[in-house]
Amino acid sequence: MSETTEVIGTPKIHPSSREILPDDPLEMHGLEVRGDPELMLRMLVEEYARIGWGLDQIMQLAGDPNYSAFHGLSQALGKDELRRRIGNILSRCGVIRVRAVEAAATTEYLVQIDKPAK
Amino acid sequence: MPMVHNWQIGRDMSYPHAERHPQWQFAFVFNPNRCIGCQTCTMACKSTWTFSRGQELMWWNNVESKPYGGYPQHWDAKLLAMLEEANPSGQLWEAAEKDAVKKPYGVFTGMTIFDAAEKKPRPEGPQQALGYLPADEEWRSPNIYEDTATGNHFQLAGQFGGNVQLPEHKVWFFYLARICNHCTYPGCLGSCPRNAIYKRPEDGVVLIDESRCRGYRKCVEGCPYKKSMYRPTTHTSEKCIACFPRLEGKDPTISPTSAPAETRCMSACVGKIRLQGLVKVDQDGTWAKDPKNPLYYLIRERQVALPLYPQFGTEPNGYYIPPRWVPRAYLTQMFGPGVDRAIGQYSCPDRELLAVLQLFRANRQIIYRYEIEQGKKVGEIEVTMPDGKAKTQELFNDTVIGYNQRNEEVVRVTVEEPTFERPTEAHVNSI
Repeated sequence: MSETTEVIGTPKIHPSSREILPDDPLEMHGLEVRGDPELMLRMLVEEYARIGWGLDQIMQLAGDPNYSAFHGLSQALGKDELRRRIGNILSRCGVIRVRAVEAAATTEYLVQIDKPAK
Repeated sequence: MPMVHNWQIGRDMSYPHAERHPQWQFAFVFNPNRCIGCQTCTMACKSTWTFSRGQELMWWNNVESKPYGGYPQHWDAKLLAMLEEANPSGQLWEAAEKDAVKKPYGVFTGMTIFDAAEKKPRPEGPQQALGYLPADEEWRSPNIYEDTATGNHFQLAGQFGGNVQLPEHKVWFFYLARICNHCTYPGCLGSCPRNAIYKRPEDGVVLIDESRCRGYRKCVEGCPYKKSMYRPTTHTSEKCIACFPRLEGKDPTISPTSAPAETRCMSACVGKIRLQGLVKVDQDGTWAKDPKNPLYYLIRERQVALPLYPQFGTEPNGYYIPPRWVPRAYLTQMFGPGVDRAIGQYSCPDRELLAVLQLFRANRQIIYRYEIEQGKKVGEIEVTMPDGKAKTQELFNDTVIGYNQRNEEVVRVTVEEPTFERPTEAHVNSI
């Protein structure tokens, strides 16, 4: 039996390798607005430190591609370099800790549902 | 059109209806500095309100990655371009002319969406508020360009479209969580030809009367934030209702004491970026002085939270603490001229501001009032100011106490001594 490599129908092309069409309504036309990655890193780390996150917790974010900011910085700088930089920032800004206590539920308003009412 | 006063732009402006104000106003502060874009708020809203047929495209709450994301796509860039077209090079602020109550950010001398509709009608036909109807394609992808900061090299290999050609764009982006702003002068309300949209007098929530709506979609066109959405199965428009049963304390499970509770999206926020409440409004539309209300304190007293695109002229009641790392010109366009002051205050908060910031998502009941019990100094930390320079911030063992509508204490949050992790390479000789 001979094998055939003939493609039948429309060839499947992954969207990422498809040509851009000028009239594609979802195509992005971006403008550059320059920013500073170092400033972004410092401020993000300070922000997490304000809610009590330490070095290991922040580095966990960097390892997760779903958290694109830190993950992207991790890819751009390298994991060890990012860890070093975050450590340096935390050594200055510290990690703020807070203790929250919520008022207990007022039981007089709760309805007991497992006992039939008399 | 009648004239109304808009304190956010510091002047009177045209509006299709005469000026009237509710007794209380639903308002909220979001802190994009902390938002991680987890979309928990989005799913909380979606699972509560917009789950049935005909609502597939509708997300009353969404989180978009700025500068490129948007739902519908490019909603803000498109309207900014239309305003610029109506008033070329005239969309400016006179930021020096300030008044703490009537014009805290200065005076916007350009055209609002109502001014532009009145003075520069579009060739498509007259409008009550300048706007456009997004195409179906623009609604199709709520999270389009999520996490997009730069060109290809920064994207996750193979996960996002490699054909997206973006300019080399140094790493910055931020997540902008959005719901209906329940504006003081809503574009949707002003545009509705059926008078089917109204503001509730008790809390300023903007609602659509479904029995009057005929689905003309003028509200979708007229809302500059595109938060009114058309549902094809019912041929009516729908929008965020601010979870009003929770605001009214009517849910016995959530509010056993009938105390007003925060909306679903607020309550679900894991990043603690949201604080929502009600502020008392005077008859002339200004906020009644109430400095112990956390929203009043953050928005009016300290001006650390700013309205989203105040130049549109709808006086939105959603406020944002501007993200600190984003280029200033971009932020000024988005939040007005108050950005420098807001970021300066937020970067190095004093003890009262730091305490009030702890109230974000501390409890699901709406906090109407706070008190602070002052403690002793527990440390100093170094923070980065907007110019990149370091500044020392003092920390105090202060406790902020939040009270609900019934003046019952619902939460207390205490700032404790900070911990420091020293970098190991600086101490290679230590034992």
